[in-house]
Amino acid sequence: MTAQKEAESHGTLHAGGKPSVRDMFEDVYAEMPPHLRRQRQQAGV
Amino acid sequence: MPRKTMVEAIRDAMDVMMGRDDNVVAFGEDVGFFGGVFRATQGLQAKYGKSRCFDAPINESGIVGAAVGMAAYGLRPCVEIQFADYMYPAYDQIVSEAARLRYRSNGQFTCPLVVRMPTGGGISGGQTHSQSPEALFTHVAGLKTVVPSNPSDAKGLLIAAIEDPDPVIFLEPKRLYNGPFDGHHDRPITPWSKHELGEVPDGHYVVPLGKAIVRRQGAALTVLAYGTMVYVGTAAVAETGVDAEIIDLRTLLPLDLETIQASVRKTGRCVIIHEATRTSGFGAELSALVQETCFYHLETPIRRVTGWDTPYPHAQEWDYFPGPARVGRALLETMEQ
Repeated sequence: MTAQKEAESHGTLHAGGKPSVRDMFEDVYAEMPPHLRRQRQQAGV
Repeated sequence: MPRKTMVEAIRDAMDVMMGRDDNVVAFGEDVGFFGGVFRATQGLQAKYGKSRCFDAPINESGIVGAAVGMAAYGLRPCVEIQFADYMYPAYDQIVSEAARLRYRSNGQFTCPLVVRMPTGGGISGGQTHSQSPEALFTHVAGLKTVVPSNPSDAKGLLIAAIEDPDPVIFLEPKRLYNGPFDGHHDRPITPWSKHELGEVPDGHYVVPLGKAIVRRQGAALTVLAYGTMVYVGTAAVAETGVDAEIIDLRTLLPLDLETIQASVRKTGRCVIIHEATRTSGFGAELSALVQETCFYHLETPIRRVTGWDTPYPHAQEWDYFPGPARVGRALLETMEQ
């Protein structure tokens, strides 16, 4: 329990700081290929 | 008629088949004593003994490899891969051995094997517990691939799969285990006990492989869906008011092309939806088939709504998951075009 609280003190998935939708498309490749860029545009971000 | 969850229906199918046929065996990681992480084999070891339902080491290639040997010997293994995401070490055994044994031996050996796998997202499972790898199986000659969307179908399809003379990949949408899910993750879930498709007949019955079903009759547009997306599509249709016909494919291969053609030739419009990534997803095959066989009936381009071509994200799950808002936009755009 102590360890869990210690871990959660560093933040949880529901504690805010959620990455942007745009970040979802980053780091799939070193350079974003055109098809993924199109999909990111379709996602509106 | 008794109502069951999809897990209970799947367990019931294995129970029925293990009771009817001593050659049916079930095994996998935690499948025996514990009854499976989703409890799909709960009680089967106590009922049929440790030689019929047992635990396997954490070795997916070993699980499927042993099952291929058992099937060639004459047994009918129904094995569990704990999550479809864990399947990759077994892929060589599935593709190079199970799928080809009949062909390679000129029919002298066969592989009546079922590989069950929980599939899909919607459970905050991140990239290692949420993937939808169905297209990796439909691309392989010699495999059949099944994706049930409700308890009633799940039992009948799994019995048909166990009785089938060839290897069957049985993908269980894990978000549907306890109830239908329409993509509105912020709303209370409906349990199968309150849904008519939770009614599961007792005893032995079969839902034939290769037969789709029309879940909603409509005249304006055809939605092709399977698994969880059947309910997402249904919600999108209700929220947009588009008079769409919703087809639940149930089996991806062999595919019920006749039902698809009859619908698209009637409506002239087609939207394909799946959770899996877009490029080379099963939707691409569906789109090609509809174009090839219904071209002169189409009034608008075929649309796909799918997961994006990224690993399944943890933090942005509901931006990745093709929910009713995205599906609804595609329905309206297709109607307005």
